[in-house]
Amino acid sequence: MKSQVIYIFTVLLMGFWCLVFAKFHHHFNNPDIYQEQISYLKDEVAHKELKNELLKDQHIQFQMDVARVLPQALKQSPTGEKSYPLRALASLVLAKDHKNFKESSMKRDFQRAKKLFRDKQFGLAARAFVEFIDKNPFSMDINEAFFLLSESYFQMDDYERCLTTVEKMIELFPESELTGYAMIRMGKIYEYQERPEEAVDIYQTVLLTFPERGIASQARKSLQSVEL
Amino acid sequence: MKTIFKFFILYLVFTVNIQIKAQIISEPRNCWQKEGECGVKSLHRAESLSLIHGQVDFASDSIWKRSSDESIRLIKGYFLVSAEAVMNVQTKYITVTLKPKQKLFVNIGFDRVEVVAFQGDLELQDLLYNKYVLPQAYTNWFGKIDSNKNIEVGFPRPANFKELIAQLGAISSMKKSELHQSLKSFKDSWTKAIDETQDRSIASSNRIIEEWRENLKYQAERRRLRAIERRKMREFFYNKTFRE
Repeated sequence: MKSQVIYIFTVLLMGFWCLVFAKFHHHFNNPDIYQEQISYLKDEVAHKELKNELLKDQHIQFQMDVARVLPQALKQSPTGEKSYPLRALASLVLAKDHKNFKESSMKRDFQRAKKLFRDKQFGLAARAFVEFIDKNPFSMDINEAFFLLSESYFQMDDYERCLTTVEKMIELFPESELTGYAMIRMGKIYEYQERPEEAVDIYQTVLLTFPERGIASQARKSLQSVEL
Repeated sequence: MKTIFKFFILYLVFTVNIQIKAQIISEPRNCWQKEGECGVKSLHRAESLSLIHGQVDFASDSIWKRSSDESIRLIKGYFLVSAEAVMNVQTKYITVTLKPKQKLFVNIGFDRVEVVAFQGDLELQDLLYNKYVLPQAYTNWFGKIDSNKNIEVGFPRPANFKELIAQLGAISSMKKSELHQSLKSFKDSWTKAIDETQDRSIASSNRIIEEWRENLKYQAERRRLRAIERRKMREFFYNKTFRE
């Protein structure tokens, strides 16, 4: 009898403890908001994936339409350079392999340019980056390529080209962190050229646009050195 | 003691936050109840959706699109499509026109689409508008069309029954008895298809053996004629050299 009472009491105590723990945990962590956010984001991802699959299917449909009409069109097309658009369209039909090939070639080019930069062959690196940017304007690494190009010019003391590249970065990737660093470099060039007011403007813009710790502290230091 | 434990479990059941996840998503959002185009995907388990002209049972992670009431496009995964009225089923490489009471099983792979005529003889049309008939219990695969206007297509053969049962069991929304009945009917056709294929294979093998024998005979005849010709030539040269 006595042991039963102890047993019941222990179970009740455990239940009570669980309840209290759950209440405290809920009160201090408030996981509902995060759970809601997670489920919302999961739902968003699922919808995006579905949309992507539907678009992929449209793309396949288009490929097949092209493949269906292409042989006829190629027979009637002019030869030589003028047939290039049609041949380019034909390559769409075999786009999968072509895409893989292009991606690997893109990565190789970028790595080669980066290696030249690391080896401090800035002239060759700049040329390689310009080539890479021209050939692969939609690459994932394009932002970094622009940044390293501007750095290469800076290392070669070619300030005008460096400024032009940074301006292009501001135009193309205004929100990128690398653009922030490139802008600091721009400020430094203005300092060398004895244009302190413009340098201050640049540093202040960086402080406002990129409040992140790394870039902002760099900009703040540079600003202090100009003001001194 | 047991009663207390039961009450405790009951209490936990009511306090734990149970969430039932949505099983199907559609694109555009909530388009299934409305008219017009609608992309659908099942998230966690096999699902079944009814249309005016039929029904689509599909596996988890499968994607398809309702183009209109009588036309659908299957995009990814595997499906059992049952028609109540004439229905147009499109895939990336093949289009099937289903008549009432016909059923089709489709497996959409990466580079080919496999079709099984589950009920009825199906009318198929490939991307170059070539028409085929796929008899019940037969399967065939279709691939892409390349830039030289060649289409990849397999050879019709009896379906893989064992594999099909497993896949159908996973996605079918039919009642057990109904599924059993359908599979029974399918099995009859399948046995017939196997026999036909066997007969065709035997006939084809016999034809090949016959051709081979004919070839052997032809070669022997050729050797005989050549030997005669050589003998005649020898005689001719012998006469020319020693007799004349």
